[in-house]
Amino acid sequence: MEAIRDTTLVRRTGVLPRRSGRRPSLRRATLDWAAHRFSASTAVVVAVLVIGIGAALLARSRPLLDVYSLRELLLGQVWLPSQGLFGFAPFIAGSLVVTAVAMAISVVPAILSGIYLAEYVTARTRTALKPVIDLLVGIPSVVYGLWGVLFIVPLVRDHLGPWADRTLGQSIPVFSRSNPSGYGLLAAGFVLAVMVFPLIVAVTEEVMRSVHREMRETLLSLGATRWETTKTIVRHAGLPGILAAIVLGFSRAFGETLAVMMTVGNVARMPRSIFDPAYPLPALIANNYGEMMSIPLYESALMSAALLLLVVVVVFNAGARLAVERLVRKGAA
Amino acid sequence: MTRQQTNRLAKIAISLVAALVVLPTVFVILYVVYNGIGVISWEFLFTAPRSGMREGGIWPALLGTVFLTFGTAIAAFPLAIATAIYLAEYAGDNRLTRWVRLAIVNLAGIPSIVYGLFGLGAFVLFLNLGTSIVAGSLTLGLMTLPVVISTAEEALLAVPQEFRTVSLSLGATRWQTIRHQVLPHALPGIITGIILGLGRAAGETAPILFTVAAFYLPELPRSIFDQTMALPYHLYVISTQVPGMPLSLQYGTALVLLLVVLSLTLVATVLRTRMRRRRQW
Repeated sequence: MEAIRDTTLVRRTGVLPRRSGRRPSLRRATLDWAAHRFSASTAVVVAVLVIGIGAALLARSRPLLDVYSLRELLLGQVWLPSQGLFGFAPFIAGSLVVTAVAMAISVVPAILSGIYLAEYVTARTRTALKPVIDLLVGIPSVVYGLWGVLFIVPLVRDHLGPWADRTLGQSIPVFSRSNPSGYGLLAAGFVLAVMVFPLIVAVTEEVMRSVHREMRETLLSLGATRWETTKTIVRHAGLPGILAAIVLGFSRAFGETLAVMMTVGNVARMPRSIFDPAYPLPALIANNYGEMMSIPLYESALMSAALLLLVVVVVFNAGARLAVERLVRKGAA
Repeated sequence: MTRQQTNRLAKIAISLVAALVVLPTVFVILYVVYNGIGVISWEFLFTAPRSGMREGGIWPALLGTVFLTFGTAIAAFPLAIATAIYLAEYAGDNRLTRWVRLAIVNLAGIPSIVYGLFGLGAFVLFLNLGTSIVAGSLTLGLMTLPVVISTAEEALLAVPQEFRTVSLSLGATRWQTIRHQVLPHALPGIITGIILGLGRAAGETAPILFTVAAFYLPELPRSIFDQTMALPYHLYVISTQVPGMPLSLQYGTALVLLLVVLSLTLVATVLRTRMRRRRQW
């Protein structure tokens, strides 16, 4: 996703004037007309694709949504499809908590790194680092998952868990070692944190750079140190951009499937401690599709889960994007 | 503390944090390379898995990923290029282009598992393609659209406006201008975008779970309507679904997958850098 520059920021130079000079021959004119129409129609397809995906998922969710109220589905605590109980609450909670753990670990260092890249690094180093970040983002989710299973989970099981139990766990239940296997929120959150680092770093860097050039130059020319400049920029203008970076990281982490489902334990229960296993929505879909399809409404329930994921992610994404756009407009003014 | 000292201290602290952030990811790569390098052999790469996948190689999965990557390219290319041409060459800033841009950003954010379910509903079931290489390629192609469109548009916009003006002033139509003056210059950039998108697609597991991937399939697929094994899904299977799986095979498979994906990304990056350097305008 980092490869997606906000294209509205690109100065538009390409648009062709309609025609100049002599009237073209019929064949050439027709070809031009056809190319124009064809490319416009593909653009329409792309434009409605998100809505199309949403509509397709909605259509397949309808059987479930017709029977149960949204309230029952979203707040229901019990997931027993064979008895007609479809409570999504444990899965929603699982998704939210594992994402929150990941964000708690990654946000501060990632934001600081983004600021570092934007404010302290020379242009040459920055161009050299961009491809490296592209490369890091490309590491497949399942490879992170394997690393989580073989390295992070044992680390949590043998070291972090017992340590937390001896120290914090006695007094603060959130840190009590409720589950000796190591598979759980902390392990998955850690893997997820490593995965969203590059994204948050890249977005922070981009927003910080694109928006505040004038303020930076003014401050530096008035004799402020780098640190004072950075502080002022972040305090007065950088916060919405950083917030947007966090939201984008959140929505990426919220939908992440493989790495999380390999490390989180997959137990549908309301989590009470960071060592508890959980069962996020993507894992619910990935683990169960194709099995137990004879149970009525089961497929529809999984489609509803996907629809829920889609809605959450699109809302967060669009929100963050609008925020960035407003920032850019303010920065340009 | 003077202002200069605070400044220096802040710089050191921030640099340290920045270095710290890179470490875990670098560690993941080194970890997989260190543990997996010993397993890679001719036999590992080019034979099928044996004894319930606990022995043998990864050939069907590797080949399946190659097929899927090609299929993805074929599925994504026409739609992405045409859309990018519309955005960069034909349309100004109109309502449609604003919608497309919003859609691109949102498409890029949709979780891959949602693409997987959509692919299942739309391609496997509705278009009745079955779990097949076609269905998987279409799903992956859809997923790579945003990356390919935005890099292609960027490549088109990087072609200087003068090229167009000259071509048009000689009486060429817009399509002739695009076809003969703009596209040839933008092509390397467009190809970079496609390879970058393919790098992502080759490593994805969630979109192929229900659309193409087979748990275990000793034979190679015979047509594009067959199922196939694929590296990412194979890695998922052998690292979670098969009890008593030797660790070495898991690391080896992860390393091969990593190499496939990273080499695609690397090719794209090198291509882009060389192109920027050679550009005359």
